[in-house]
Amino acid sequence: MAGHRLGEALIDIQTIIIVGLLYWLLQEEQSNAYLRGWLSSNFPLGLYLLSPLTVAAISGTLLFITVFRIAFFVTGKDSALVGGEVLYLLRRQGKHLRELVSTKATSTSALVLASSGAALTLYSYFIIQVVPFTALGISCIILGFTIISLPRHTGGGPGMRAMLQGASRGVEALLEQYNVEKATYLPPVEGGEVFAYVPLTPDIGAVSLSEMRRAPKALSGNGQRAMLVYPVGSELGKILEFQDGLSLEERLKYILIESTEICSRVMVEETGNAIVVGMEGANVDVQGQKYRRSLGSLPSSIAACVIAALHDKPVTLLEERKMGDRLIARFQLLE
Amino acid sequence: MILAILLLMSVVLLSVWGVQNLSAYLSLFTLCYFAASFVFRPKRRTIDFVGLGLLYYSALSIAIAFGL
Repeated sequence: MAGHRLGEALIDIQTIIIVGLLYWLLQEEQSNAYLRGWLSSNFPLGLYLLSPLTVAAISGTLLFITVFRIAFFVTGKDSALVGGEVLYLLRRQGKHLRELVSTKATSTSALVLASSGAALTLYSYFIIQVVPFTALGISCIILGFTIISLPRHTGGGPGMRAMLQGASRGVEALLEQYNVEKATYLPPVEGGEVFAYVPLTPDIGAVSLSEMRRAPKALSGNGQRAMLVYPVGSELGKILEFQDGLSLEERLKYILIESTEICSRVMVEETGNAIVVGMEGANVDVQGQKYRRSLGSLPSSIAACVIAALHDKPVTLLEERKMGDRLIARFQLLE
Repeated sequence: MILAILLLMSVVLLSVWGVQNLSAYLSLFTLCYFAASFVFRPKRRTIDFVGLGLLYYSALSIAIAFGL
């Protein structure tokens, strides 16, 4: 115990001595022209380190830490425990921060970089008058605004669209000979795939979720009433970025705009179990009739998979309407 | 990432050479920015306002430097 106290006291005394030395160096640098000249020619960084504001910032930080250390020591609190509590609180805030960063299209981290750059530029240019630091601040501003102007994810284009349409052809071939009805998108089980339950006859009636999950994944012959198919977006629930608490609208933007470029704008309206998704510039022309009749157009089918994975509930596409270059899809979450 | 490295290298190199003219830094930043844009041709969500701003300020600073 005595050794621990001695150690604490030594650390605090050392900190106070360092602050005193810094202050003495600052005084010396301001009054001693020879020292200033030597620093200027041999160690220019020392001039910046010994500017009054820098010394005040370093000393302030050290004294702040020391005061807390002394307070913990006097009150008998364990700084490790308090630190643990702070870390726990930060971890809890982490989820909210991730949501904030990922749900704001302007990317908060880029804004932080640009603002820090602006602060550094102003401080360097007007207060310490150091051109390289000013330039460094400007470069941070450039980087921040460049990040804001770039999409978060690059990819997609005509090649991606063509591949997605090709992927839907497999399902189309399966359903071709049947008079299919509206499909129900089933949420993934334990991080698995999204399935679509496709009724193969009109008189299927009410079916529970567990019954839907038990439907066969292949065509077994005459008399089959329904089957499970892998929709084009069946693997979307496994995207890592989606683990970070993205909202539905952000997820749809990520997939439909930034990754696949299937449409140029997405709007989402959620009211209870009803979800309306508006998609501008959506391309729905090239697609199989059966797929479209049962699972919806390609953008709506992908949106349904994202909704099922996010809400962890079965989803059905009630209707789709094409108005000019806008596609409006209405979904219903099933209990 | 490439742009970040280019900008940082520009600052380090010019400061090591003792350049104290901010317009020199700005001009090199502009050069690096457009070089990176030309090579990688990134898609953008908006118009290239960073490029336009850099072009404007570097042109302005060069004009001032040459007394135009």
